[in-house]
Amino acid sequence: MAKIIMDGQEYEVSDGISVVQAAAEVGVTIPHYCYHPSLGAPANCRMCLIELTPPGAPGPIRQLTTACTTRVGDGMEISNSAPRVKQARATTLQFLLAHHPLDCPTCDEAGECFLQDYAYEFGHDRSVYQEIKNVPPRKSLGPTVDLFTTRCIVCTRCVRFTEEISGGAEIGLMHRGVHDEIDVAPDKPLDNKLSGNVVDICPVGALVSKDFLYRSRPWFLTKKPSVCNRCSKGCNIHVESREGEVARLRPRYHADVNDFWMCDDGRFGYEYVNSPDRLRLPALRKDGELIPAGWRELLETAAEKIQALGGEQTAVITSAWMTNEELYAVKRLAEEGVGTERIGLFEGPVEDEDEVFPKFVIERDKNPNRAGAELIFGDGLKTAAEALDGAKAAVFFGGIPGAPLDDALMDRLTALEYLLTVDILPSALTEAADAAAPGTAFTEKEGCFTNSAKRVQRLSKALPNLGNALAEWQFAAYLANALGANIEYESAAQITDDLASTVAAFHGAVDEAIDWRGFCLEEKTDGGEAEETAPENWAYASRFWR
Amino acid sequence: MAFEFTPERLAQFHELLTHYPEEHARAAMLPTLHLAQEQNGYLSQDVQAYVAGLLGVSEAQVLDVVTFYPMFFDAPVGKHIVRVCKTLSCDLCGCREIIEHIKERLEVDFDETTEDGSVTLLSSECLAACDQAPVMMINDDLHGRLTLERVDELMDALE
Ligand code: SF4
Ligand code: SF4
Ligand code: FES
Ligand code: FES
Repeated sequence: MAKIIMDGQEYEVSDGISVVQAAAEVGVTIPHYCYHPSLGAPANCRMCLIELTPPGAPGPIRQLTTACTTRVGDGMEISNSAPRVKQARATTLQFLLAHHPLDCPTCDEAGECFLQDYAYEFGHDRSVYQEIKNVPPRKSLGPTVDLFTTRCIVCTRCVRFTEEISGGAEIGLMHRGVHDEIDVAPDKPLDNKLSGNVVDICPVGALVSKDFLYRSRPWFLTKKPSVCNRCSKGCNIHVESREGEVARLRPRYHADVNDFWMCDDGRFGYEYVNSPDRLRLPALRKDGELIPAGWRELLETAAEKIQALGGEQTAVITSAWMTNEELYAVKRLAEEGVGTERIGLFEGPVEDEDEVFPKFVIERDKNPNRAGAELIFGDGLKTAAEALDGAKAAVFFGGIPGAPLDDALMDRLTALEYLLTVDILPSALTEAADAAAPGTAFTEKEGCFTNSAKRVQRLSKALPNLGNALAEWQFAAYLANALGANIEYESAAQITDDLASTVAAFHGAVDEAIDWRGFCLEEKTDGGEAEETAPENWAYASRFWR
Repeated sequence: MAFEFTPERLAQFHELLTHYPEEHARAAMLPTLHLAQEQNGYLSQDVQAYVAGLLGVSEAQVLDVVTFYPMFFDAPVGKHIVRVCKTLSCDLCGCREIIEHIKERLEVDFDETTEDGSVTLLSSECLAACDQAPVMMINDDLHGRLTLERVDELMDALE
């Protein structure tokens, strides 16, 4: 730790970190644009100027210093508020805004724009600039991102992202001086799986997401912390929704999982959640058609069928897209309700290899909770096809968009005498069902996924259930009880606790212990307290990451 | 045919690389681009892609450099490049008259090439020879203390 003095007050901060981060640690904002803790610092925007007195020096050094490239040390003195600091920032803003079109009313970034915020806090309300403004046209940089060229302040964060994190270096800074312009080379668009991140790091409204553009003013969005469900990495995200629909997904900082980033598979892979085809009502097949029915009717007929065909002959198929809590409830359904050892795992694709970028990896396993399923069910877990082989009935929890059913699985499903599905969208699976229950998408779930590194991470319920849909854990408990079991859960959190006390691998992972940084099963079960990774970045993220 | 260095230039390029740390081939960008422009006259997309490949950088990183420096051309130019300084010292010493004269003589404006493809006329910021103002550069040679007569002489000498 280092003792520093900022604006006359003494603080203790982590030694050797940038002054921007140190200030963030103690809750002070030093405005900045080009600096980002996960990218190299070129100090080109000049917004972060401070007055610096090095340890032991008789007074402040004559020139103002960039806080982004200055590392704190014991005894350092900083002024974040001297008149000349304020003056410098106001002047810098005037330069940054000289060619800016001031088109905030139609800008996607308005409301979460650092140009607006800092101009409001540190800027002037008028400009001495009276020349003609440069008006380079808006352009497409690739399939996912557009550039409103006029709004760019040339901080080069996007350039550095493609050089350092995604590695393709597709974005460059073309031309010179006042004609500076962010662009890609001809026929070489920004087209990689991390492209969406450049929109997040752009501190202004220059880079915009084609997917989100003009969809909503950001202040109308409801933002809930959650976890991506598109691979076993489990990137931390925010689900931002409006009027019952997902409007966008954005990465949430996590030092040990995804840094500030997420991939485009995850970012743009939510459309199915908003699909108008989503299943909303329980339905029973009558004369070949699925006809909406009540829950009671569905549960009673299901219990009758299963009892008639025999619990042991009934397969329970669970899915690697379900939360720990859902999986555990399904386990109890299989054991206490149905009474079967035919328990199989339905899963999404697994690629041959991880997709590796210089500083990010997209994992090959496209299932968010395989680790959870394997830990909860243990060795008894079969593949879906194995569990269904020779079965007469099945309760099939799907929930994977596009229902990846291969021929072997399809054959076994059609051979069943009774099939009950719990799913979110119509598919070949629900086509084959005798009874179809509507379930929940990940944005509607409460509970946790366990990622490939055995970190239990929490989802939040960002959206209400659709129609009459029941949470899968609830449905599993109801069905088990219809079959004579006695499972009483009132919330997903109760299951989290139950799971922690009954399954050894989850020991300690009680609801209370799982914060928004997750709970690492491997570290904590062997008693070791993990050291916090990059504490200064957490402070930075909570202050500056939107 | 995609652009490639001639064997001599390729050898020159490899020699160039030895001046820079191995893991920083990108540092050889400027001399490599000069070499390519020498061969091709200007740096077409094709040439830029070739240089990017040689140095192991992206095409955007090459375009970034090419568009930064006024000495690189990304479109065809005339056989001769004439750059006339129009910054303060030269302005004080009468470059405007000289510029008008050259434009009239060549029947082109700045950033244009004569119809016969022989000369491209460019304006320039301070050529760092203020003591000889007004100045211009013809290809790689600097010419100072210009008068209209001297300009005509120099122009006559260009085929
Ligand atoms: S587009 Fe955005 S991130 Fe890129 S240089 Fe401009 S302001 Fe910075
Ligand atoms: S890497 Fe995996 S978890 Fe992260 S955003 Fe992409 S799909 Fe989602
Ligand atoms: S943030 Fe320090 S100069 Fe840009
Ligand atoms: S102003 Fe023309 S050479 Fe300096």
